Amino acid sequence: MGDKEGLLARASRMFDLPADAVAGAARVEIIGDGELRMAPHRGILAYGTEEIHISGGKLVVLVRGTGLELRAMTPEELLITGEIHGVEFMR
Amino acid sequence: MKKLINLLRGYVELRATGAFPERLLNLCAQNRLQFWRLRWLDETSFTFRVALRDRKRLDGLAQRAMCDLDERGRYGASALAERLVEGRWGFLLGLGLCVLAVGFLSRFVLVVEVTGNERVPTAVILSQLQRAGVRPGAYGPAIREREAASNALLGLPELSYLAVNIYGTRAEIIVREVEKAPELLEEDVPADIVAAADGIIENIQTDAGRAMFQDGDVVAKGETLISGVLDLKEPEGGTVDLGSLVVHAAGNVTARTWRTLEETIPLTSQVKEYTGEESRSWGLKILWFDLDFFENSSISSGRYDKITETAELTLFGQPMPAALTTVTRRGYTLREEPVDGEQAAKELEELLRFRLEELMTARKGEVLRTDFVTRQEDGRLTVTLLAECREEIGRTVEREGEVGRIYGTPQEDTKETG
Repeated sequence: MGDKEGLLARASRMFDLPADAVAGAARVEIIGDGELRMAPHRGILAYGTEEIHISGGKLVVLVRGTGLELRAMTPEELLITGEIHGVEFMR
Repeated sequence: MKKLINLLRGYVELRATGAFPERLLNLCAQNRLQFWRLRWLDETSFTFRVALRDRKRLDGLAQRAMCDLDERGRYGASALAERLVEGRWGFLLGLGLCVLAVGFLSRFVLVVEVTGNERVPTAVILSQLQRAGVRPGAYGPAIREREAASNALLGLPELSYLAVNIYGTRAEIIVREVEKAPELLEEDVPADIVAAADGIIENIQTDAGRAMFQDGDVVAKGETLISGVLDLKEPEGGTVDLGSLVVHAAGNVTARTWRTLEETIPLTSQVKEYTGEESRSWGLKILWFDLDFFENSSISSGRYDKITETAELTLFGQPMPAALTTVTRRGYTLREEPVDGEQAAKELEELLRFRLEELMTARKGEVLRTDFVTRQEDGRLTVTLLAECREEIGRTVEREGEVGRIYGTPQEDTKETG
């Protein structure tokens, strides 16, 4: 499974295709410093008003800030609002 | 907007506690169970809100995530309705029955309104409609409006049009009265104008026929004032009889008349003396049901007054088909008592004046002078009214035969010998 994803990621880079469409990689969209959307996701790993850990499959997205809040969450997408100070990707 | 929708739909606020409470959030997301207002309390618990309809589904998910759920409150319209209904099945049943009763009862006619009548009394129309099936308490959908209107109209010749419209509990009846046909002058029938009263003629106007009197003549009741027979003897003093012409006499004859009207009453009268015995009974009329729920007629004597009082139930000024009737019976005996002569005379004078006015209205006349004479004899009080009036005294009296010319007998020629 991991090889397959790696292969798709390499193929998307090779053919200049969007990785989220071809390889199913997580797409993280930040609007200003107050809204973060992520799709797809694999769920919340840890939750707090200053730090939220979101599973994105191979990597974990770590959102730091103040007054963070999970505003909406569906199987495909989630929305975090609050004052976002930084986003970190962990493998 | 979303807040308002959530408030209308109703929501529940919960506290989730578990080793990994975020698992519950992930499960909610996977099962498309919407949540909002997420507040992290500590490492093991958080509060959040879900729609009231998702509450039961959440229990299963919490079990899978090994979380405990603690309900902190229910809010919104649905929650309020839920609280109102909870444990009030009697109230709900009553409410349901009320709605059913209103739905069912509103199909019955409660009010019958009649419009458009002036001469024909409403009570007469209502009575006829009742026979045709349109009455308070009738089942509205069973009334065939056109048929009922036709049936009612058949029994009311004074009406030219009648419509029945049923609007829920109200029956609207629109009527039009027949136009009074003008009195036709029957010119084909020979007639005379005769005096309806004695008097002195003030003005005689002839439209058809021959005036038999002149202004200032004295006439007696029954005398012919304008004759319908015109003699055709011309010229004046002529000897040739040309016969006569029979017409329907017409004209106006105004005369000064003297009227005598009289009223008499006994000088003693029977006065009621109440014995104190009284009984009451009550009756309730709802729709077409009459209920007498208390009857106590304990009047032992034969004579009693019966006073019936009916209190109709009204709603916004409209009478409803429900009424409470109270019947009071008061026993009495009769006692002879002398009449106050002066008071009685005044009352009789009033009565005579009223009779005279009615007479003058019918005769298109006026009262010029009145005089009253009061006398007491044989235990009776008599008041006589003497009135001088000006009135129309001509009255048409038809006669036998036909209108037209009647030829006279031919005259024999006479030879003069000298």
